[in-house]
Amino acid sequence: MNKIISESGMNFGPFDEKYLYEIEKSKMVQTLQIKIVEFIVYYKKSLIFLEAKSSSPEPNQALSDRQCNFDDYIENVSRKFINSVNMFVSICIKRNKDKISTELERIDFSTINIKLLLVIKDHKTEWLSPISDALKTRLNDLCKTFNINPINILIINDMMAKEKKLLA
Amino acid sequence: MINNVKLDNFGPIKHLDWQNISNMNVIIGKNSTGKTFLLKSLYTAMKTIEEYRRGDNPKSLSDILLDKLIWTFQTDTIGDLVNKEENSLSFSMDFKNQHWNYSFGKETSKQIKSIEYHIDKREIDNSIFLPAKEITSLDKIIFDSRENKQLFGFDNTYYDLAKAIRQSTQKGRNFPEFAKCRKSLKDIIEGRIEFDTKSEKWFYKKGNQKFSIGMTAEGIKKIAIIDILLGNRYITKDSVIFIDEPESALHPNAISQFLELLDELSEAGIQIFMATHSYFVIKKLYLIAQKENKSISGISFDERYDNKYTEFDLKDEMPKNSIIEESINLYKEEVEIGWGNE
Repeated sequence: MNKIISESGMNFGPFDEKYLYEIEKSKMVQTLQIKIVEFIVYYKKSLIFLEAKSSSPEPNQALSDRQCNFDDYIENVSRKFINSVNMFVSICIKRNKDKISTELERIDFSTINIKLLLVIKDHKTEWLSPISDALKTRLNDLCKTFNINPINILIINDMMAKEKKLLA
Repeated sequence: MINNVKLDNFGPIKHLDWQNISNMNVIIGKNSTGKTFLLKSLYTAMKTIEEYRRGDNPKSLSDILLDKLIWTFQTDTIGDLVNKEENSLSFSMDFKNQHWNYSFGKETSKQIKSIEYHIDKREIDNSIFLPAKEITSLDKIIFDSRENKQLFGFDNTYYDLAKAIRQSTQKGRNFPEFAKCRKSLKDIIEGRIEFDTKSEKWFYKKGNQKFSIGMTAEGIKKIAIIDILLGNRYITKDSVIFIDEPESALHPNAISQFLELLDELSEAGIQIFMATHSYFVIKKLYLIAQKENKSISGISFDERYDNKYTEFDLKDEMPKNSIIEESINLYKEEVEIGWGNE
């Protein structure tokens, strides 16, 4: 069965439920109270950790606020990706009571691409690049640890997500 | 300050009417669209104003202008400056709210007859053009080429600058604003470029160490030029500075520092015009305009528009232009590579 996930004013999918793990709805995550991405999906031969945002630091904010907001924003999003990857691995090695689907379990994660995808609603394309550069720098250790190519850290807006057929 | 400028059929520029000029200005566009041409036309106009009737100079306005045009643009005849598809060019400018203009046809070679001139005598203040290449390591070759051999190669932008940095320091106290700028400059380049009159050579002095100019980084030499011109007082608070590609040979961090310094100079009264290809330059100027809520005017040459150019103010927006578009295209390409990675 296919499922559409509504987050931050965007409808993602439809995704095959067998390859979807809604990590945010996991009871374990809710118990642990850690920051986490919206969902994890195996899609087009990649394991995607997807975080959706309806806001972001914009250039038309006051400069004094922007620097502070920008750093906080990057830290917040980075923390979500780091926690989510760790949580997923924790489930895979059965250190965590949560379960992923049998279909997801069967995937050989040693060879596929892992994509860390941030989708920001109504964000201009020219404002994406600085966020991408900052996130790539912040997530350097995570990328090295899990052999993730930094080019697979993708920051796109809803328009680009639509082009990639990620939105319903 | 230059209040406005209008050009018709001037080289590659078919028509330009730039009315909203501020103290700091930027010109952008692809190669061969006329950026440097516009800078040089303004520089020629300013140098003509500054030489005409200065001291005991007996030269006529027409002769000075003719000489400036030939040696700045280095064409066989000034008629070659007329756009190939047209028969005549015209230039007009308001400086300190006083007007002057000139025009000539493509057959003109010896005298510019059509000149209207209402500008007050300019005795002390100087304008200067900083070309993309630095000149401290070339000045002897520039003097030889221009003064002995009278050859084309180094145009007036190079020759004037070579003469300006050799000018001995004028008496009197420097402007306090400039002292602050010189301190910032020294911090950026971690030293100073100085001229040794005995050996007639420039050298870079960092602490107690002296380095030959050939061993000194291009970026340092480029920034140091401003320090020299502030130090010898060639630049005054009423100067106009033209800078072609301020980004060349500079690290993005140094570009930011250099632009902050230019901003300080513009706050002191100096008018600045620069032509650039750099995303960093535009972005930094945009941030300066936003931070200080001040106008930084610009012209974007773009063949897609009817007039081939658009005016903008960085206080209001980042301009739509090929540099910004290319940075977006690069980012989209990055996303495509990442997305397509399987």
